[in-house]
Amino acid sequence: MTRLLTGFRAHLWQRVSAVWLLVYVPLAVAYLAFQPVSSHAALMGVLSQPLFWVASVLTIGLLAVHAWVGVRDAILDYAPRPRVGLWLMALATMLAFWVGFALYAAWRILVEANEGGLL
Amino acid sequence: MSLAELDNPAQWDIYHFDAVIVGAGGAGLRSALQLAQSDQNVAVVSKVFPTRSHTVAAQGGINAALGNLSEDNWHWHMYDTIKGSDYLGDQDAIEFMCREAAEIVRELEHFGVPFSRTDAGTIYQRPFGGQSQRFGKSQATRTCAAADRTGHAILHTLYQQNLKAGTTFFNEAFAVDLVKDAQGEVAGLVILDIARGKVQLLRARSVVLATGGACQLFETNTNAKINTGDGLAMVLRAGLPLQDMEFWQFHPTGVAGKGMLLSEAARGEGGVLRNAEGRAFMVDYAPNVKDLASRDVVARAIAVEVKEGRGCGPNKDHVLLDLTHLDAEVIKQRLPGIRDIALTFLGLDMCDSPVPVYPTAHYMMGGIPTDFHGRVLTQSVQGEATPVAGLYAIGECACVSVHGANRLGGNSLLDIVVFGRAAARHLQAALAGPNTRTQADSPLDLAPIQQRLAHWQQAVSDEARSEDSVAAIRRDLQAAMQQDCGVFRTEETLTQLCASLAALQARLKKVSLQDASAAFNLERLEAMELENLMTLATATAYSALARKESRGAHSRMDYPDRDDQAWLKHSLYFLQDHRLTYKPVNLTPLTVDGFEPKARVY
Amino acid sequence: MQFSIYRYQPESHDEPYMQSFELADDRINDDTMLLGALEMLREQDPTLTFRSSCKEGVCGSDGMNVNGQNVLSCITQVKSLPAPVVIRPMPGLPVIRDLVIDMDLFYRHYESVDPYLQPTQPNQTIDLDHELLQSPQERERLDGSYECILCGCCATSCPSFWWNPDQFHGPAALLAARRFVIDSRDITTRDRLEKLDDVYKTFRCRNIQNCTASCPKGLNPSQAINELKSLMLKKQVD
Ligand SMILES: Cc1cc2nc3c(=O)[nH]c(=O)nc-3n(C[C@H](O)[C@H](O)[C@H](O)COP(=O)(O)OP(=O)(O)OC[C@H]3O[C@@H](n4cnc5c(N)ncnc54)[C@H](O)[C@@H]3O)c2cc1C
Repeated sequence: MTRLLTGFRAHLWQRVSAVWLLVYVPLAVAYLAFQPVSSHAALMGVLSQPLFWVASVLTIGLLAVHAWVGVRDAILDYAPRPRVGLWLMALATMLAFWVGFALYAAWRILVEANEGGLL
Repeated sequence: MSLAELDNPAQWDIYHFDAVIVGAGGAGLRSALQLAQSDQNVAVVSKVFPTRSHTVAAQGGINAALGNLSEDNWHWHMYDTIKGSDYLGDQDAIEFMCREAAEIVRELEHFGVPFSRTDAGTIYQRPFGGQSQRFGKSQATRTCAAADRTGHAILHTLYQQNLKAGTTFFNEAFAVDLVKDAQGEVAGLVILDIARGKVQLLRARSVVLATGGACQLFETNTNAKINTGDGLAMVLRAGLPLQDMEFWQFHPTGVAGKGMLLSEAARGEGGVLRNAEGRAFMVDYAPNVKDLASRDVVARAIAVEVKEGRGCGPNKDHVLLDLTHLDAEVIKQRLPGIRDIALTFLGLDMCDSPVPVYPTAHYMMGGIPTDFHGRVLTQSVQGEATPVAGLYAIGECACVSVHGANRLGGNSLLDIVVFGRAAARHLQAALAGPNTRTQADSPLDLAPIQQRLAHWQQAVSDEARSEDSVAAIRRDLQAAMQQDCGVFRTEETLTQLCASLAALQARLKKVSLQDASAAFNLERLEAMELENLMTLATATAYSALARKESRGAHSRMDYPDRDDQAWLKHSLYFLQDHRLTYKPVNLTPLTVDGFEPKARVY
Repeated sequence: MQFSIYRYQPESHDEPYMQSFELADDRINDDTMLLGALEMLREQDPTLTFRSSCKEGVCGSDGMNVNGQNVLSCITQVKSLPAPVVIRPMPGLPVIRDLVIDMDLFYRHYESVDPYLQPTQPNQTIDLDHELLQSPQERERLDGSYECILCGCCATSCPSFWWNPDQFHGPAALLAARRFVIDSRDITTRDRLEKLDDVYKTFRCRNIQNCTASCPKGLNPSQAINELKSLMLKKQVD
């Protein structure tokens, strides 16, 4: 598990994802701040804007990569060697759950927006 | 290690090798590399981690007539070396070395040495003292340099190549003495593993000594703490002679009062020496080449200036090395290491301030007599040079002799790699043949070594600190050598020295130690090193007292001239009864005509 | 002047302890180096143990931790140090005795980066009639990495090395790795970079910069490691 996305590629992905997050987060905040949202349906509409939606799904993946590399680094540095595998397993499981949940939410947004005739 | 263990060699760690090399400086590592590339089972023993050997400190460069910057050839190099040696160098060995130079330096370059470069991309070379084109006509530019860190560059590179070759190392292992078998032939050596304090026996068909120099004999010197001439003393204790021990090089430009070296490269790049009057005085001693005269000439000139009252500073005890007229960029690029030394130890930046210098003990021309295959020689009863079976010596501890009475700058790094390789080649051939000597299990004569180790084991005393100590004796020894056997010597000072040495020897026999530990017992090591130094001091004093002439680095005020009639010969000193014998200098090179001794003018 | 020195005498004491020493002020001049002072202390107590050799900062034997900073004692002026001078072995590696540490692991990392020039294919013979040409500019690139003296001041001050001493190559070995990666004469650049491309070997470096701060030769291993990373990028792009 230590070797899943390692060395220079990890280093590169971590930087790429960081740059993406740096661009995405302020833009997303700005975008959401300027949308008047009065109801759940309206929110679904805002969130399902194609550009925003695709960018957000991409963010889910990149955030997972970023977290994987960053937290794994911390584990490799600080965790006692015999327990590194366990910690990494825990991290991977958590990230997998989180990604699963986030993707599910993204899918639900599409579904609900569709049902509301917003797409 | 306990006395009981010491008494019982069966409990020692015992290893078997075809050959063991003692020393991991440039000489030992070049030799090891050659042997590692054959199928022989070889080990290198070093009392420090290899890259900490003192070759690392060499600054200026290594000589080879590459002719990258001006026309050159090995024959001129050979002439300069012979003249530099004050005609005491053996001309067969000198020819051998100068002929191999260009190829072996290029080989070092291929090994990875980061030499400085010319614009054409070839190895950068700088002028050094005593170098000429056309047999003394004009200054040559022959010293190949990696900035002023050439020794570091070469030593690290050779270590790296040995890593690649998979050489076996015993690091931080102190060689105590050579071991002989019942026939009196060399059969290995005993070492002390410093970290654990354990005695180990290395049995080997051949031993190569490469233990470096011994300038720790003198109060101010350019050498490392570890340069205590252990291999040389081992040879004396084995009943073999040392050659030309009266010849010690005092480098003209040591940091005054401290001893660290400021390389000849400083003068090669254009630096000049000045006295209290600001005069560039070398013109009075060497009108043609001035500051780039041979080292013995420059060192004497400085000593004379100071003696005659033209020294600088409040105590008028040094002269100045002045580089301030050079472009600061040149200094920073070509001499960064020595600029650092002046900054660290004097707080002076050579770019804008001259620095105080005085001659400092630097190099031993004498050593273990060998032929140019590195085979150790002794003298038969009939006075003939005969090789000692299974024993080689290379590097500064050996006396081939290519440096005679005075070494030229840049020739030692060359010597160590040329003869390091040559000895290994000879040894390779010898090992490939049938083993006619020592059997792996033949009985060994270990008693003298056990006694020596036991003595230092028992010298530890719990009683209140004795008055005397190893450190104190060492200090007094260095002071005596500096005082009585420095740049200038006389019958009187040398006789005085012999007496002082006897007294110091008596103190050393009685001194007690305080450190009883086995692990990293430095006090015990220093005691054994001091024993070695003491032996070499005696060899030097007796050899110097006997040589009634001035030649190269040996300046007798009472015999100021060179006397070829009586003294164109090598001294051989034996420990037993301080016996001295002599052997002729080789004046017949291998393929060219010999150079007849002439007056030496620079 | 007061000194407080870490003592570990495994044969007579189970535990390490700090011992105070005093050196008369008139024995310390402006140009007295710490190694000189330690040698004077050794005359008071010959069991005080530390490595040293060249006395001029080129052999790299006498690295030690002084008032919290790794230095070479032979080029550290005593007068520049606030008293009491607290001297400990360099951290992160096993102590053999007093200030002497076991540097085996450090050397093994150095060995594992293949620190030797590979200018030819394995079975190619070398042409000893000519040197391998290298322009002064190409040679200049090696400045700042070939001068390393393997003293270990950098690695033993590096938290990443403390955390993973057996896996992370550490600053000195990586500096050596860079020296061969950028040497214009070496033909194995790609292989070298590939071998270094590893989560532990190279990428434990977190740019803490202690290595650069503690290098007694003024070298910059941290920058060298970053350069290795960007060379890996270039390799991927090529
Ligand atoms: C400051 C300085 C600058 C110099 N500059 C130049 C220069 O520019 N050009 C030039 O040509 N020459 C120069 N020289 C001279 C040259 O560097 C040396 O003569 C040469 O390096 C000696 O090499 P070596 O291999 O014989 O010995 P060293 O490099 O001294 O190695 C000796 C080895 O023997 C080992 N050893 C010793 N005793 C024992 C023992 N008892 N047990 C186990 N191992 C032992 C040591 O550990 C070490 O590995 C300079 C010398 C000095 C001091």
